[in-house]
Amino acid sequence: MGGVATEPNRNAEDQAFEFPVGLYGFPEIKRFIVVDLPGGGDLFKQMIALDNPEVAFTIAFPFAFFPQYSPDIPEEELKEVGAESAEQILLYVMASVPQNFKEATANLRAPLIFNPFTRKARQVILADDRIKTRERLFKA
Amino acid sequence: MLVLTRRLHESILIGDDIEIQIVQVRGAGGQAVVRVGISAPKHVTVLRKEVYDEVVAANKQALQPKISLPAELLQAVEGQTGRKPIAPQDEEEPES
Repeated sequence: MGGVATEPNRNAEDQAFEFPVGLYGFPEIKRFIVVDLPGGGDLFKQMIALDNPEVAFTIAFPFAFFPQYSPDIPEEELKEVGAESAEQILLYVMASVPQNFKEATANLRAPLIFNPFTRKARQVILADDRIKTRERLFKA
Repeated sequence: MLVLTRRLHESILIGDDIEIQIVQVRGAGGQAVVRVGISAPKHVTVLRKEVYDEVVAANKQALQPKISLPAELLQAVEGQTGRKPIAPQDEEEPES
């Protein structure tokens, strides 16, 4: 999962991911860079709007926290980022980390798919109603 | 907003390829439930509005300019996932 983060010595513009339709609720923000978080390893990264560093999100690698998680990404969504199969994309989810981190949640319903080859990305809302937008990352 | 009256099994067309059909109507007044059938091309996203609103709200809640994660969180990650987060000074693993 090393291919998603921007390496500091590369040009940020070249390394940005383009979200052609933005994120839900943030349709106007189309370019993000993904950077390593100190201590976050592959489990947590940060996604920062290239044109507005105030807009940033913590993203999490969901499969480490939720081994049962198997999002069904429709083929059409894969095509939107220029991928032919799910093997070509990297999948992260948005994490919401409050002051009390134990209450951190992950949005498993609307994962982010990144194609490191085309540098295109997209937020996908899954059809499965059982998957939650706020799933606790840490068991209480 | 365009408002149309439709009877059971009647349809509305949006553009050339989206059809919305009234499949079932039951109950009356505030308790009424209408089942709607939607035929649309695969690239058209069809969502219940609540789900869309929920995702927008979750995204807005997740907005977080703060760059650092608390050390306790990283320890909790290790405890829960059995995966040791990579120490900050470590290099990113090479691209495959």
